[in-house]
Amino acid sequence: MSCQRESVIVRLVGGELAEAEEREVRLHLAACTTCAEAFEGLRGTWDELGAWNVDPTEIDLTDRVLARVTEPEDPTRHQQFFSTYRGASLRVAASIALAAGLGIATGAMVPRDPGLKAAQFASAPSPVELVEALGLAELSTPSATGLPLGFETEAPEGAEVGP
Amino acid sequence: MSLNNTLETVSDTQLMVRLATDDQTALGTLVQRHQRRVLEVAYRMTGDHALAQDIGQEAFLRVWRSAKRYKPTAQFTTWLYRIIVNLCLDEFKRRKPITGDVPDGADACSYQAETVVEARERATAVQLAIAALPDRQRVAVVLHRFSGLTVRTTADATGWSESAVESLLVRAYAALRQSLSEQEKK
Ligand SMILES: [Zn+2]
Repeated sequence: MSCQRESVIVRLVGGELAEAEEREVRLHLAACTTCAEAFEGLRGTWDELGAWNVDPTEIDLTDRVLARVTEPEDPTRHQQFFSTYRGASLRVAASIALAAGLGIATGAMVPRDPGLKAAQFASAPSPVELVEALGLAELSTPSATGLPLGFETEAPEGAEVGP
Repeated sequence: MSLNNTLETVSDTQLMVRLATDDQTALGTLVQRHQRRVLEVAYRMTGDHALAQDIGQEAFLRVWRSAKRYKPTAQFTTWLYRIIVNLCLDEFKRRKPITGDVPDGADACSYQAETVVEARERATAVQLAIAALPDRQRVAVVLHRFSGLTVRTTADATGWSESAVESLLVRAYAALRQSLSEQEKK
């Protein structure tokens, strides 16, 4: 058997090869130092990644979600989400640094700061800015994913896969 | 037994059928059942707790809005992941790349057992290495390594081809290996 493609090694480490294929690949690894090293390297990385635990059990979105469902239809609802979103994005790097500093990386997620939303809305962009910046055509899409319902698995037209 | 308890044994697809008839307890059950995976994946992709919760809320609202048109041609969770992936990709388009230096937490941690500090440092190293990946590689690796999706289901959840996902994963794991070994040397 010839040397394994790296993607096969990825599938092997991920435990998703069919039994017969896995047997065949493992036979090759036993005889090929290059592929065996590639496998061990990836398995080591895979294991190392397991050090990052995220525990969101303290957070319950149920009330937040159901409150939004029961409130009267608000045409600016999507805009509100994205304005909040945009405000939040500015804090990403700081949040990572802070989470790391506080050791949150290994533990529980923190419940959302209830005061945050008001602060974000204070600096929310205008509706015109939002329409331009966020491509609000998306808001009228009939699908939650932005793609036709029914789980079409083909890449959407123009979808890039790099980098 | 409450209605919610009764619904705990109902499948996701059946809950979506109920939700399509405006049964909001079905949505509550879906939130309870899936919020952990939603929050976890959104946090790993964005590195932001508040943003992860906003994405989680919006994802379930999209589930609710789509219930009447929902067709169960794949697993509900795959569809849910796709909603989250799209929300995260939208967010990535709008913001600068996640970077960030490892803060000096040595003083704050000095009283703790060495093993706890080491574990925390390893977790931080992983988080930073993941954050430094290009967006699509990060999305693929979060789904594949942390959410337990296969290459095939990662492709379904992202809308990318299997070969594209393979290529993203090969590059992502190679970058992570390098990044983690560099951080170890520091
Ligand atoms: Zn070989």
